[in-house]
Order: sequence, then C-alpha cells, then structure tokens
Amino acid sequence: MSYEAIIGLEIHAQLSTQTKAWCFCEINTTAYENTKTCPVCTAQPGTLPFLNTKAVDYAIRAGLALNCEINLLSKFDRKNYFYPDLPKGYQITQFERPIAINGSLSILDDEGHEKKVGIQRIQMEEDTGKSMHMGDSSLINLNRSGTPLIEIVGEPDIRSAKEASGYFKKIQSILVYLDICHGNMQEGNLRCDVNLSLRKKGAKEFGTRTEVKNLNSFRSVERAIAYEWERQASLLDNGQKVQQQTLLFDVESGKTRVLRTKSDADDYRYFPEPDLMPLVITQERVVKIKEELPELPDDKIRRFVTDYSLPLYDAEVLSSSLSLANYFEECLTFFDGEPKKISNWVMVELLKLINEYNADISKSPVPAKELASLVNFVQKGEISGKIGKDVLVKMYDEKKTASEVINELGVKQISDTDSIEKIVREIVDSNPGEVEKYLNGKDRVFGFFVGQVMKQTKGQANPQIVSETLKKILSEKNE
Amino acid sequence: MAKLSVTSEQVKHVGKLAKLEIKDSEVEAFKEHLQKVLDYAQELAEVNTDGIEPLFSPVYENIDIYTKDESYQRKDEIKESLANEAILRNAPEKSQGQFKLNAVIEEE
Amino acid sequence: MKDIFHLHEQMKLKKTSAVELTQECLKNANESKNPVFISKLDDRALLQAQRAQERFSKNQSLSYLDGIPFTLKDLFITQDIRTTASSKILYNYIPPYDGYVSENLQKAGGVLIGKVSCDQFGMGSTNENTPFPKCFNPVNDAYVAGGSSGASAASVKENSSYYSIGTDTGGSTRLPAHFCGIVGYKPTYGRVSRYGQIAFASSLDQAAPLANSVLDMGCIIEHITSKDQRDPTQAPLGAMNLVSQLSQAKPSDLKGKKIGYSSYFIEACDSEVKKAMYEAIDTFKKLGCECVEIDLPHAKYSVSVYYLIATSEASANLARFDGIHFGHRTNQASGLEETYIKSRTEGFGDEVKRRILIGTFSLSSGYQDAYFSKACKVRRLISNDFKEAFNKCDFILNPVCASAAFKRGESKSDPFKMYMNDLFTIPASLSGLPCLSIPFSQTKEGLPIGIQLIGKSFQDEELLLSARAFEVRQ
Repeated sequence: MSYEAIIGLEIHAQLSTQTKAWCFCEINTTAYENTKTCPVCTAQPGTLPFLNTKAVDYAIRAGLALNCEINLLSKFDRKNYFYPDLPKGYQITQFERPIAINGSLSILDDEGHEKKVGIQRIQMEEDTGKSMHMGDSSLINLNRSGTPLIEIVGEPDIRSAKEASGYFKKIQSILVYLDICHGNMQEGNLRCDVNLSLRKKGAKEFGTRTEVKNLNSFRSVERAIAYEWERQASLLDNGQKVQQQTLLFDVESGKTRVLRTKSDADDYRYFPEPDLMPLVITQERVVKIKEELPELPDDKIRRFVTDYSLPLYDAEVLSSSLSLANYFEECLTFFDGEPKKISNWVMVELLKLINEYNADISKSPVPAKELASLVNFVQKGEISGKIGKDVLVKMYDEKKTASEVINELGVKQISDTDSIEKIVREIVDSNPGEVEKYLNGKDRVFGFFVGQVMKQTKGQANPQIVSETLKKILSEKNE
Repeated sequence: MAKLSVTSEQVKHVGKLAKLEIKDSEVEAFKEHLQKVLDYAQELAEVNTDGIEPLFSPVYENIDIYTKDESYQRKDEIKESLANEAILRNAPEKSQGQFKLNAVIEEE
Repeated sequence: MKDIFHLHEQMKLKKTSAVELTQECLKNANESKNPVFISKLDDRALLQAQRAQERFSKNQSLSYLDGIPFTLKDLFITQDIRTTASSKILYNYIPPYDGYVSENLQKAGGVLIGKVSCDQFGMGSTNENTPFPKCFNPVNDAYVAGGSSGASAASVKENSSYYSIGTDTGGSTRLPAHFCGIVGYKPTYGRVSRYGQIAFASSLDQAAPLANSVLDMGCIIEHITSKDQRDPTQAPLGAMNLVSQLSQAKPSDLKGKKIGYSSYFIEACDSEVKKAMYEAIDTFKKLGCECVEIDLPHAKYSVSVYYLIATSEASANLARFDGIHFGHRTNQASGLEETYIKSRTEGFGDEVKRRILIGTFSLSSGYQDAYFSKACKVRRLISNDFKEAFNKCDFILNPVCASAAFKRGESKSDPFKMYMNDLFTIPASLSGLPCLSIPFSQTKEGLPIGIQLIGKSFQDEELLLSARAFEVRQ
C-alpha cells in the first residue's frame, strides 16, 4: 500500500552564551568533569535559578529569524521527572507560554519547489548533565547541566527524508548565521528529534506516531526516517498497529530501538516555575534585536545572485554556511575579475580539499587572499588552469602562498609572444624535413612542433600562444 | 466537580510518580489523609473562577517593582565555579571526580 | 533581656561585651533541657564574639548586630556547618556554600550560636515532625513551641539567643512567636533573598526573624534586605533602614490609623483568644485608631488553596533529594529505580511524604485543573480581597491562631486537623503580604497570646513602625 509520511522535527540547540542559563558557571565542554559546576547547577539545597539575559536575547533572535511572534510576557515551567543527569528532579522549560510562536521556514521540496514549514513554537529550556557507564556503575558529570537551550518545534509539515534534512540544515545554518549556536553536531550543539506517522495517501486523519530521539547528523535524520517509514509501513501492511513509542536510532545497524513506550507513567506534572520571574520583554528590546539581526541565508543568496551575477546554484552552495560565504566574499576583495571565477575555485577545488581533509573552511590553510591571488595568476594566463589545481594542492598541504608555490615549481607560463616566436622559429628552422611534411598536408606534424616547443620551455609556454605563433610561422613557409 | 473517591491504586500510582514506597500496611493511612484533603478542597468547586487568571506567585502582582531597574536581568559574565572537591563533598559515592551510582543508566 | 538596640549602646560604653553576652547565651543553652539545637557552635561562637569585642574596643563596630548572639533555623544553609532541614535525608549534609541570610548576618558581626530544630522541611505547626528530639514550649513544657520554627522561638524565649531567623511559608514564624510570647515578623514575599533557604514552597517561603521586640526587627531586617543577585524573586528595593525611626516611634503615631478586622476570623477562635482580640481592638481605639470591620470573602478558602499549592510546589522542590548527588542514599538498593525509592522513603518523615503525595496528586494529569489550577485562581481572588480591604484600612488585625499553644503530641492523632490551625496566618502568605505577630495577652494558665498585624504589599516599614508604636504603649 502507498503511504504518506507526516513528519515533524523538534530541534534542540545549545545557545553559545558564555555562562549557563541559571548560574555564573562557564560553558566549557572540554573541562575536567564537575569543574564547571556550582551549587546552582548541581541543585544543592537552597539554590535558585537566575536567568541569563543573553540567552533571552539569543532566543528572541532565533524567533525573529524564523518569522515568529515574540511573546512579550512568557514564563517558565517545571517539567518533573527523575533522572541522574537532572539534579533538580525537574527541567526548567517553557510549556504553557513559550517565548516565540507561529513562525515559518521555507525549504525546497523533493521537486525543488519552495515550501513553507510551520514553526509552532520556540521554547527556552536547559540541558542536562552527562552520564557515562563504567561496568555496572555510572558516573555523572554535571558540567553541561544548565546550559541554555532553545527547542524549535516544527509543525508536522514535512513529507520526506530529504525535506527533513533540508529543514534541519537550514535551521543549523540560520542559528550559526545568528551567532547564537556553535552548530557543531558532533559536540552535541544541535540535536534533532523526529516525529513520524504514516497515513494512507489521501487520508485526512493522522496515524500513531513514534518519536526518534537525539539524532545528531543530517544523514542520521534521513536514515532514521527511511527506516521508520519502512518499519511502520510493514506493520500497517500486515494489519498491525504502530505503538506510540520513543525510539533511539542506532547508527551502526541503521535501525531504531525502543527506549520506552508511552504510558501513564509519563506524567510530567508541568506547572509554573515559582523561582523565576515571568519573562517580561519590552517591545523596544525586540525592535533593537530585529535591527541588529545579521543577513540571513535567503537574503544572502538573493544578494549573491544580483550583485555577483552568480548562478542560483552557486549562491546556494556558498551561502549554506556563514563561514563559506564570508570566505567567498573575502576572496572577492582581493580579486578584480568575474566573481563566478572565484566561485568555481572555492566551490569545486577548495571545497574538495576541505572535504577530503574533513576540515573547516574558517580554518582553511589557504587564506582567502591567497586563493584570490591564485585565481588572478590563472586569469592573467600566467599559469594554466590545470597547473593552478596542482598549485592549490601544494598551497593547501604546505601552507604556502600562491606565488611561492609557482616560483618553487617554476611553472609560470611564458606568455610573452616575442620569446615564444623566437623559440618557434628556431625549432621550425632546424627541422626543414618536418616542415616539408606539414606543407604536404600531414597535419599531424603540427603536434610534433608543439611538443618540441613545450619540451624546450619545460611546459611553461602558453599553449594558445604557441599554437597561434606556429600557425603564423608555418604559413609564412608556405608562401 | 464531582466528589472524588481515592483508591489504593491511585495512592500507589502517585507514590510511584513521587518515588516513594507506599507499603501495603501504609496505604490506608495515606489514602485516608489524601481523601480528607481532597474532600475538604471540594469547597473550592463552589467558588466561581470564570475568567479569573490564576495567581502563581505574588511576584506576578508586582512585576513593575521588579522590572524598575536592570537588576532583574543577569549579565552573561563568568564567575568562578566551585572546586570539584566541594561539589562532590556530599556525594554518597564518587569516583574520578564524578558522582557515582551503582546502576547502569540508559542514555537519553 | 534588653533590646538589641540598647545592648549595642551598652557594648559601645563597655558596660557589657560580646563575649559576655555569648557566654550567657551558651550557658542558658547548655543548661536547658529543651532540645532546641541540632548543631551548637560553642567554640566558633566564642571566637566570633572575641572578634566582635576587639572591634568594639577599637570603636569599629560593624552594626547593631555586631557581637549579638543569634540562631538559625536549620533550613538555612551555612557553609561548612551541617544543615539538616531537620531531616534524615540531609542528616549529614555539610553545605559547600553559604546562604544569603547566614552570610549577611555574620558579615554584620552576628555571633552564630547554632542551628536549631524545626518541623522537617518547614512542614508542621508543632516542631514535632522531626527525627531529632522534639523541642517544647519554654513557657510551659506540657505544650509545643509551635511550628515549624518552634525551636527558633524557643531559643529566643529561653535566652539562648537574642534573635533567630526562622522561615514562614503559611505561618511558621508567626505561630511559634504567638505560642512563645515573642515577636515574629514575616516580611513581604520577595523582600529577603531566599538563596540558601531550603525550599518548601517557593511562592510562599520567606525568611522571617523572631526576636524580643519590634525594634529588634529593625536592627535585623536591615541586614537581610539588600539586593541579592542570586534570587530573581527578591525585589530590588535595597536594605531597609528603619532603626532610628523605630527607636523614636511613640504610641501617638497610631492616631488616625485605620485598623481593619474581620469578625469571621475572631469568632472562629476559642474564648480566651476571642477575648484578647476584642481587647486588642479596644486598645487600638484608645490609642486613637479607627477600627473598621472588613470583609475577606474568599479568605475562608485559604486552607484548601494553601494545602494544594504549597504541597504541589513542595513535590517538585523536594525531588532533588534523590540519593544521587548529596544526602542520604539507601544501602538496600540495586538499580536506579530502587535507589530513588528507597533513599527517599527512608529519608523523609511521614508528614513530608503525606505532603509530597498530596502535591503530586494535585499536579497530576487529569487532576491539575480541578486542584492546582483551581487553587491558583482562588488565590487570585483572595489577593483581590486584600486589595479591596486595604482601600478601607491601613492594617489588618487578625488572630494568629484559634487558641494558645497546643498540647504536646496532639498533632499525631489527626495530621489533617492540624492544617485547619493555619487558617489565620495563611491568607496573608498567599498574597505575599508583610505581617507580624506580637505578644498581647495570656491565657488563665499563663500561655502567651499574640495578635497578628498584616500590612500592605511592600509597605513593611509602615507596618513595623505602627507595630512599634503599639509595642511601646503604656
């Protein structure tokens, strides 16, 4: 049978503030265990949370960038559950009245058409600590406890794995553009929960959904959706029911497994957090944050297309991450030619190296200035495009400037017509037999002359000029 | 609101939520107490609260006093954390600078 | 016993000294049969007293509290000094940090005699809900000292300290003050930082001093009202400087004040308290006050509202006592779930368990609207009643309790019946209003009877000044 998937994503993003949500502890993921902790984030008796106002600014930024309404009066609630990495016995979150609601984000559907995904709400909350197994026991580290998070709850408007990862990617890129989240998935800065249910194509009512928790890569999101889709479909095909469950996705096996089945025991007893003030935000504060919002990916794409005459595809690739876009624009400040030329080199040659080394463009061993200088050499014909690629590899590997590598390799192209003409004449004059053959119609001999010139110039002669000069001199012989 | 009759199962369920053990020998006493409180609280049903905003804390009635200056906002400035030994001072068990628990926890 | 205010003058004149006062208090504490203290700090207190005395000898005293012995209810966090909340679950808890109240009073030169008993986590009206020996009323040992800050009141009444800081969630300071015949003052909710005060019910809890006079309250409150950047629910009003005004207050200041009272509450009291209340009204009239009947139509629902809200908040506040990060951990468990359940079941007393169960139920799915949320709506109506009433009067005069002190052991027979005793103190707590209980009369048997004055929100100064004017009447 043919089903349609109803998919909604909940994305948890750690905010990149200096300090935690409720206390003055530094957020530091590499510190020794339980050294970035204090009475508040370890929930010692008698302690109280005090909201970090920067986290509020960041949440407002996210709300505005995702086209939300900002609630000028929101509040915090306690979500009650026991867990060893949650020392208070409740998580402070926003249940009844979150900071931002009713937003949207446009993505591309599988046919490449633009489509809007609703953002139901953005709520502020806190991260938990971490636990680690040691044989039969567990060790608990509370350095992460109380790190501010926003949870972006999307409407179930997504219909495919590709849409889902596209949506997730776009959220990630926006959060990094806003400078409110480091966006590093390996470090857990961003986690995604996928809610998925199936219904027969054309049906109106929703099926029972499952929730796959804590996906930390775009690829895992796609794979988890593909697996759940398949699994639920086969259950339904066999007349079985889908159970409302919370699942975990195993990256090794590519399968989901049950974490818990939803039941009455999940009673979080939400109620307003009496230790915090209601969150009052002035309209002036919202306006100020709005004015200071940076350019977002969609605007950047439009600008790249209009200002730099880039194809839409290039603009999208370059804008997919803020550091890439910044790198590209920095190159342009050192370059006079067509921006498209830079775009080609960044998108194709440099990104190939970056990806190969699993590196980060913001830490590229080839600074923007040097990439621009390399492209300049090519544009002026001082080196060939083909040699340019080799030069770039060496620049990347050895962290050298373009001109250093070109000099070292001695690959600078000879484009000076006079000196090329001198070499060509010498070769033509010292090979009268070959000239004869050429004049008698053996065109292949032309290649012999090119080869000789290249040999003599160690490949540095500009091939186009060589070819033009040869034709000119050989035609003189014909007269 | 109809009058509610508390069952032993409910008492045990609530105990489970609160992580408290209610022994069979204690159920009756806890049930009786809870029943008395709920019976008494039945009086609230007679109060008309249509259109009344709940009051969760006195602070909701004094927001202007609290927001009159910037002190209700906390700046994002790091202060030194507590030493590891101090944080773990009261831990029932500890190991390698961490809280220790003799149980395997499912990661969430 | 003299006022802190006057003791300070005498210490300046070297007529008495911090060491002398401290030795006296320690002597009284050590000779008393009343198990008031959970931790007594003789050596540390004497050291603090010596330092204070040195400051006086150099004419560098820090404040009215410098060198004055005091006690803290064992709900207040004291760095490196055991803090138990009068419970098994925190039996051996040694805080790694100092709370606001402890820190500020000692910074002002206060000499901490010790940490005193209370009802476990502040839950009770008799100081009998505790795994520690139960303290009793210093006036008559057949009676309880009241609760939950019973031992705080007892330590002041027995002259083991000149003041004590208790906590007041639904009357826990006003009641023992009434039972023991001293002054108990609950500031407006949000006046004193709660940082370092072990929570019972966050929207109601407030640190509340117990002392011998209203004038002493002025000396104390100054040091626990500065803005603390660790409690967002503390109002940024700054330290309350009232001592000199209080010291000059006179009965005639009360002329023209309007005192509101509700017969509903007075008539609900036993004959001796009722008689005292009407005498109090007469006394205010004689001092030139106008006494007007007021109506608080929803106040009668206070007990229901309070026991749903306070227990709901408590059910979450006490979740952190789970045997994982600090406090008692069972040695009878295998696995996580058992560790939680057994640690908590072993660590909490019955009354605490009863309240956690009520609160958990009141918040639980399917019941929250009818219980917790409904209670919060009625709380609003109660608060509105007070606003209305304060259009007609400057203060409200109310009984503290329907009777004088309870007999010991009474609370055991029916724990629910005890809740009803809070009817008179709870309404002001639900609205966060400042209120105090001051000694007024006594029963035939000689048990103290206090009266309660309730002021307008964040107008603690006016309340204290009028209470002082009343206190110094002839």
